[in-house]
Amino acid sequence: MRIFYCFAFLVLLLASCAPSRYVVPLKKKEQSLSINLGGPLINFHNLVIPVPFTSINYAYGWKKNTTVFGAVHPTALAYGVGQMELGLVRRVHYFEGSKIGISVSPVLNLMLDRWEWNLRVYPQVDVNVYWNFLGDLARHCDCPGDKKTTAYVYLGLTNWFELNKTRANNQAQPNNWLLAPQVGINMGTASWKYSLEVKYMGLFTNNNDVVVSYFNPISTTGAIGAYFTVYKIFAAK
Amino acid sequence: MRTLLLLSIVLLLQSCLRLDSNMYNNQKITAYHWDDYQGHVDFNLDTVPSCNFSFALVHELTLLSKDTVDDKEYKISAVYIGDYATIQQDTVILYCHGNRDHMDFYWPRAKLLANVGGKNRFGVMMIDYRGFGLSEGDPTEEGLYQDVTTALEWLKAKGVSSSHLVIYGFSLGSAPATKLLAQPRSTLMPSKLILENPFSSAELMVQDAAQLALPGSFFTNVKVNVAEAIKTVQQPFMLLQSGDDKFLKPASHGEVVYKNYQGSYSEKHVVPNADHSTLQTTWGLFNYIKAVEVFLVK
Repeated sequence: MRIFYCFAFLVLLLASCAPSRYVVPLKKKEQSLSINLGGPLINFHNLVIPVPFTSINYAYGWKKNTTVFGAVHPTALAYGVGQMELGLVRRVHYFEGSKIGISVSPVLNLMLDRWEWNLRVYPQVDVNVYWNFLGDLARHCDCPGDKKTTAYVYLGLTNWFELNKTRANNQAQPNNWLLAPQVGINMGTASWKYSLEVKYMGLFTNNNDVVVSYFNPISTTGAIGAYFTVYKIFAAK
Repeated sequence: MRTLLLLSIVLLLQSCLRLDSNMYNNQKITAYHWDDYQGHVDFNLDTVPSCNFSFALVHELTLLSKDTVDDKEYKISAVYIGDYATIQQDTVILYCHGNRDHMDFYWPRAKLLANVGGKNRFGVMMIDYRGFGLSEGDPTEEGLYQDVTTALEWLKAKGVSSSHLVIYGFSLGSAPATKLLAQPRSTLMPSKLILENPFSSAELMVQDAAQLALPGSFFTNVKVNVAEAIKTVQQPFMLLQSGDDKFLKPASHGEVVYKNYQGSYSEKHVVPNADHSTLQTTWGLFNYIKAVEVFLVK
């Protein structure tokens, strides 16, 4: 039986349908505007495509190692739910020799619907390890000899936290900590960057018996999401 | 960022899309095929010839169901299995099917019920909610209630009395079956309630899938809440629960509904290893119809 299932599964996807916003902080006083497109992979007319969820993001290089950012979700907005993210990303360590860095990104997800004005707040923490294999992201200068193109790959975990202890019909909330692992690549110049991320969502949610045909060749639970982001970087004035 | 926020607020206030229509797995067809249906079914009765009965007792019906929201009338399809000549004396089971395709898909289940207590001992009525099968319109929550009420009115017009009527809801069907006992819309009130793998509420289903306690209003206007409605049901109640229902976890659905029942009599049958759609086949068809019979004649 599939009662409500596709609908319910969409909920899951709307709730976690975004990549890590920023893995590496911007340079101090840099600004960035980015557009993200992507979602879970589905089979569609013999093709595998991502559901086209969208988000628009703005970021500002607040400190040398810290960038603050905000995002809105136009897809959720179209369904009457204002979903906004406010967060920061901080580089907590960088190994100069190996060019491997670790960043942590706490985010506050705010959701408000226009139908009954229900509000939900979800803290989220992304932890990523990245390897800067091209150029030098760590140097905050345009030093002579720097390659114009930089690139890094990353591997990380998105952690969502449910603050409510109960849910509908006075049931106990079973999980207050939800995990979604991700892997991605980011490359580009000082002005434009592009990233592609693959995320595994809903690790423990059955993906069978769903009207939407999710593409997941490795498991009967969860969905694989693919996200493409374009960043326009505005240099510090 | 400020521009983005202002734009978001405007978009939020202008938005009107909902996911409600994604909730239903209805299928439109051009004709019913009953025993000759070749589409997918959860089980069939080909190997149980003793369950067959004369097709003279199978009556295809078209009923008019009025919409309480837009005041339109929809033609909805129904089937009555039984003898019109004795309908006033017979006990009738009004079967509210689940959220799949149309009545052909549920035909083996209706046939089984027509064999409870012996061949055609009880009359069985089943309808396709609007948007399912040959029924006009699109499915809505209000439509579920109104279409089942239309079936009740048809039975009343045929002379069926409340004491001779039992309502049975499977999965999605547990919503109209329970709601119409809790908040009756017809003077014909079923005297017993059977629920097979019911769900607690639309909101809890969303939360089961999302794993987050998101409000239902984020996604749907549907307010189905069987776990609340059952609290005011007084009629005797039987729960048939698949022990290994992977779709509706028993602990957060069937068990909650059963726990919330505060009426005069209840009994529960949990079938170990049965999944959402395999209760009858896992339990054994004759064990199933025997349990239903015992409850009906109690």
